Amino acid sequence: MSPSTAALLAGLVLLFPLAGSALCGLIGPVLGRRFVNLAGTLSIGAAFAVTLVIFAQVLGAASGHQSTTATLWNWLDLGPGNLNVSVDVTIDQLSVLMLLVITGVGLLIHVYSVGYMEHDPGVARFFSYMNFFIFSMVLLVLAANMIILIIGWAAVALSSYLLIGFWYERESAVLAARKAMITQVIGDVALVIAAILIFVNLKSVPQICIPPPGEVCALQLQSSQHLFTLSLPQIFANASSLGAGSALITLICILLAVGAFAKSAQFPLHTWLPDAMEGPTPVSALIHAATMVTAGVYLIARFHPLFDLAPIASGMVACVGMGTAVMAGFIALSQVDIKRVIAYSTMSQIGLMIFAVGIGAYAAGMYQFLLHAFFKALLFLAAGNVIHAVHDEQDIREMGGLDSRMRVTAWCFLVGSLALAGFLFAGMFSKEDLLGFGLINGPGAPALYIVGIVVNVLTGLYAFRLYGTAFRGEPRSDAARNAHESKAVMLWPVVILAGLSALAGWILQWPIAFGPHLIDAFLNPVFTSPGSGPIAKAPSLGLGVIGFVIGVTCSLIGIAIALRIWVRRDLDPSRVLARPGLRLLPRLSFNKLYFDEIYDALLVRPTRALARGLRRVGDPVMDSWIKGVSGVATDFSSAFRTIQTGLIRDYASYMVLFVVIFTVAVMLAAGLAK
Amino acid sequence: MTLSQAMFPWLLLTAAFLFTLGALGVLIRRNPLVVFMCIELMLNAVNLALVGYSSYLNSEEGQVFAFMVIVVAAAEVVVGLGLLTRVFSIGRELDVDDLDELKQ
Amino acid sequence: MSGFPWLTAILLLPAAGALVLQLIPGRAADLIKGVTVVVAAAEVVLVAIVVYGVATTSAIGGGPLPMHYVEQANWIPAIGASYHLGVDGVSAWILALNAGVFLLGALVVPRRSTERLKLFCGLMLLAEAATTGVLISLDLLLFYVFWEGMLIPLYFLLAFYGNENRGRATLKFVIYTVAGSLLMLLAILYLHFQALAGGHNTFDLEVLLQNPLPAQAGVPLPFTTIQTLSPAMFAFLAFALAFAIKLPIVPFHTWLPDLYESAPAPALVFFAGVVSKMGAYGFIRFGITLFSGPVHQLQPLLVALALLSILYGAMMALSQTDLKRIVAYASISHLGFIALGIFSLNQNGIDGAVIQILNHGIIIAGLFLVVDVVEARTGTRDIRELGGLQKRMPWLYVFFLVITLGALGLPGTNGFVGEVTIMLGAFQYFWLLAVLAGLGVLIAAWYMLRMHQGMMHGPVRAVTEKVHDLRFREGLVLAPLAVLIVLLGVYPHPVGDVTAQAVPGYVTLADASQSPVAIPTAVRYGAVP
Repeated sequence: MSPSTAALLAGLVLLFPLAGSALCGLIGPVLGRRFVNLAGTLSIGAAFAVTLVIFAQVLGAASGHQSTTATLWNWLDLGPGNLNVSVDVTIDQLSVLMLLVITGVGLLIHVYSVGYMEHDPGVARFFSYMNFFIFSMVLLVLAANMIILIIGWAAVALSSYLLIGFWYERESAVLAARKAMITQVIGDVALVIAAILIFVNLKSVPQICIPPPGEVCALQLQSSQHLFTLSLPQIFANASSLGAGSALITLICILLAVGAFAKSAQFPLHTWLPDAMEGPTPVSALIHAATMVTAGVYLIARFHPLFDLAPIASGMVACVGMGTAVMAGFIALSQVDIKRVIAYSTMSQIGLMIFAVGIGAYAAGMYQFLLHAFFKALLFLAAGNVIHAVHDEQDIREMGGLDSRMRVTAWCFLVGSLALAGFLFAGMFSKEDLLGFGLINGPGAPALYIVGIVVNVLTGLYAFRLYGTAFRGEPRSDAARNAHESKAVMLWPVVILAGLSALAGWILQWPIAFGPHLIDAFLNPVFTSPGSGPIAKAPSLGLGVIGFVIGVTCSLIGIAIALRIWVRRDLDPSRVLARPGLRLLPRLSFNKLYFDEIYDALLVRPTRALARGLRRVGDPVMDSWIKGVSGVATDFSSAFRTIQTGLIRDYASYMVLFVVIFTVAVMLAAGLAK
Repeated sequence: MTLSQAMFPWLLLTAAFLFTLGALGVLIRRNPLVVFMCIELMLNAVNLALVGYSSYLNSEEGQVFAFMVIVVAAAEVVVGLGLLTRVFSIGRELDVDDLDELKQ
Repeated sequence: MSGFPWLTAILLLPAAGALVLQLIPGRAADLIKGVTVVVAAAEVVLVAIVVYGVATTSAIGGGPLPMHYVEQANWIPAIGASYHLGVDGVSAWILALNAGVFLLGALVVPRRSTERLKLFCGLMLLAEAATTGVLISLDLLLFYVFWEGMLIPLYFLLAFYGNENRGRATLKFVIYTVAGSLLMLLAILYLHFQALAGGHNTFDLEVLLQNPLPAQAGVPLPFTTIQTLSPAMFAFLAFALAFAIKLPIVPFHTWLPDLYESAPAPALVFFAGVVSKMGAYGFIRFGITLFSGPVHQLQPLLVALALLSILYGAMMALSQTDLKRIVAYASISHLGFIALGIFSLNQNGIDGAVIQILNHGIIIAGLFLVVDVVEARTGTRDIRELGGLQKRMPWLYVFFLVITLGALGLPGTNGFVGEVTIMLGAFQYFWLLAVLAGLGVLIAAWYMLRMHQGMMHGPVRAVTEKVHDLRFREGLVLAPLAVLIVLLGVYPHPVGDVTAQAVPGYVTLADASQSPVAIPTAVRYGAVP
């Protein structure tokens, strides 16, 4: 693909959603619902079509030439040695995979939204925001310059903010939006500082030329010099100048990881994601499950040349990912809001992806991203159908018995739950794949693997707790009793996603359910630098089989326990949990480990108190110096005020008096001088 | 015009007497018109001294300065009388002790 | 660049407009406002021509600071004062900001209050003439005349047209600024006499730059090589005080919130958008160039104060409940960024500061316009009483959203361009500064969202029950600001280009190698060898 073709295609895939957003937002309210529905979905459809063209181009390109970088325009140029940024885009396997998910799953969710937002008066605004989100996400994955990446990064955060706070009259939605945005800004600042560190420190790597016998090199050994660039290809090509394993590159990678954690809702920046469920359900499906929250995974995968050189930072990423996976799984066990359960499962699954990219199994992480996008979007959209059917009730204790009332949705939800739990469908492939890498890679391997199989058990548990409570048993409210199936426009996307969740893994990995897969083969050129293999070693076939069997067994254990507790109801967990050592667990889980309370007490309240205290004392103190100056002047003048009687006679007397005194003094002085 | 050396101290004494008279008048009288006349008296006493010195020291500067004083005095009278008629026209008694608004 | 005196034209046009206004009968309110707007628009056109010229032609003059459109004539030959005008890449965009923001201010002059409207418009125009003069003067005495001249119309604008709290606010403002600028006059005279001793009877900036102050011994600070109490240091401090008060830098800022709270909207837009930037401009054009020695001696103190401004302003903005005070403290925080960029004394920092001057002017003008619209509709500026405006005023919401995002420095808006460049410059001086400035960005997100959401979101309140959306005229004022915020965020290249051609001259003058407190490179960059 030539750079001009790449620029054209990238421009188109950016332009369609942007144009859709502008159309829906500016003239949508005037032209009405039908126009908005058409413009909002067709723009994404067009973007998806362009993405398919790009995909074909990349597939058709010769090996080693799949990556193309093109410049759209010059953003800022402050002269050599200073900030210079151009709007560059890169099309390669990684970005095209992301594009496929963003526009493909995005298209399905947009179609679904037509039905979901049918009665909402703000539909034009909704589609405008959604289209803008697609645009920003595309910008984020195409960016080939750190500043442009950060712009996409922030634009994504903005659209997330707008959509979380979509129902702006709800106080809780407004606060959730604010929380999400501020958390994102933490990530933005971390990325900006990482960019500055790179900009200031990056040097060119000397090109060592070994001339063939009898010839001389055209280009001799260059001394290394500062590059002062933020262009991603240049950064990656010269990453080693930052020093493999040095404190500098570790710091840069940790900052990048902080950015990734903020976006991907990883510990300790995870508290915004559950609150973000205040937004409409399609938003949760698109942004807070399928695409935006996985941007952190993408970021680390994209910056793999740096992370490869920073084992400490990578190890930290792996630990945080796995830690978040366990933590979120644990919390998900006791949540009662259907969307929050899925949100915590998202957090947990993304934790696994982060773990994968942390141990260097980038392709495995992206594989999990791809399949997760399918089944998580499926779960959210199905949950949206449920919420619609039971009249905006989200508490699963008020549901039950929906399987006979909403057959299609229930079956699809079951597929999604199985895929999530990791049996038969999508999750089984990607999760076991990345856990297999965990067997022999990562800090203290296989310690994190063992945590990983605990996550498998937890996933099975909460996935089928959700399914069992919401869909099986007897209806526990009138709304659930009167629930009925959604209409076609909201069913078809769910069915398609269910099909993808069920089949994608088998297709990509035919005929065996473990070991190398097509995504691996497709992405590996991106993650392999010439001359060295992938950073994470794949497990041998035997080890892979053992890991696979253990993993699936653990998932099944979780599923089985869940079915006994919440479907057959012949196992009561409360007896076990009543033991002294375990009594605290349900409370911790239900209260989300008290993170919100802890942050509130440690960060929010002290800052507010400081601000309030400053308001009381700050400016008066700052004013004191000028008050001091003017105070002296005031005292001085008020001392003299007493003789200002306003009587001309008095003034004249003072004058005479002082003339006399002055004259006498002069005469005395003259006399003394003689 | 010449002035005998013997006359000079008397002339200065006269000027001093007139000046003191004027100053006392300014300080004691309450009618602004009288205050004005007293100020004029003081100025003219100074003029007398200036002219006397000019003759005594045989220099013109004193006389030139006396002219300056006369001009200033004339200007002052113009402004001052203008103010007085203004005060009078708004119906107030002419008493300098009443005119203390500037204090507030 | 023909012989036409462009700079004299942009200087005299507003002043002439003020004169013409006096010929119009006071009852003809429409005509008065019309003339004001036409003059403001004509000024924008003239300035646009000048900026275009600066962007497309190369500077002339072999002096230390190459200038465009130079005009030079004798003014008071006896003391060497001259009428020396010029514009370069640093002042060009500030000039554009000046004209643009003034036009917006003129557009929002309320026509209803026919009483003394003529005087109001006349004073506004005079204020614009003075700020224009400040930006194009290359003679210190001329600069000082305009600097003080700026104060007079502003004083009357506040004293006659401010709200009920104006008395205290105006007094505070006048005391602060006069205190600062009188000392500056002394320092200007000191420079003049120093030059006179060297055989140059001049106030001309270029001549003074070519004959820098001799290094004078002072009292060294214990354990360092910092020379304190030298005459040059005193002279710099006198300049710095005037600029720091105008900017303002904490702790010289307390006049600003009171003043912003009581100023009438059109004057406020001009004040916040332009006048406060004069301090920053003064630091760049005169502070760091004439006094490179003292600046380097004091650089740690100066950046510390800039940082204090960022964080202090942000914290104060977080706890205010009056919209205007929130914006005022937010402004202090943002201006702290500008100061931080300037005092980094490197090209990224100063470039960023100039870019941020332009961008912040656009943003702050927008914020105050929004606050004015809301106050006019609801009768309150208390954030606790507001809410739910998005439902009633969707168009205001759109504009306000864009402006808010600019103010919190969201990447992709113009606020980000300046901030990231300044952070880079600050980092190149000392890494910790950039990190702490990042904290300021974070708090900015907090207070801006608190303000934005507090006004726009939530249920409709009593005071917002019956408000109507923006009128076309009001939208016409806000729309260009919103467009510029986005446009300069995605394509800041023209601004950066013009700025970057002039800034190296300033960096050379403020030669960084003179720094007495040499922070090791490794510590500065956070680099690990």
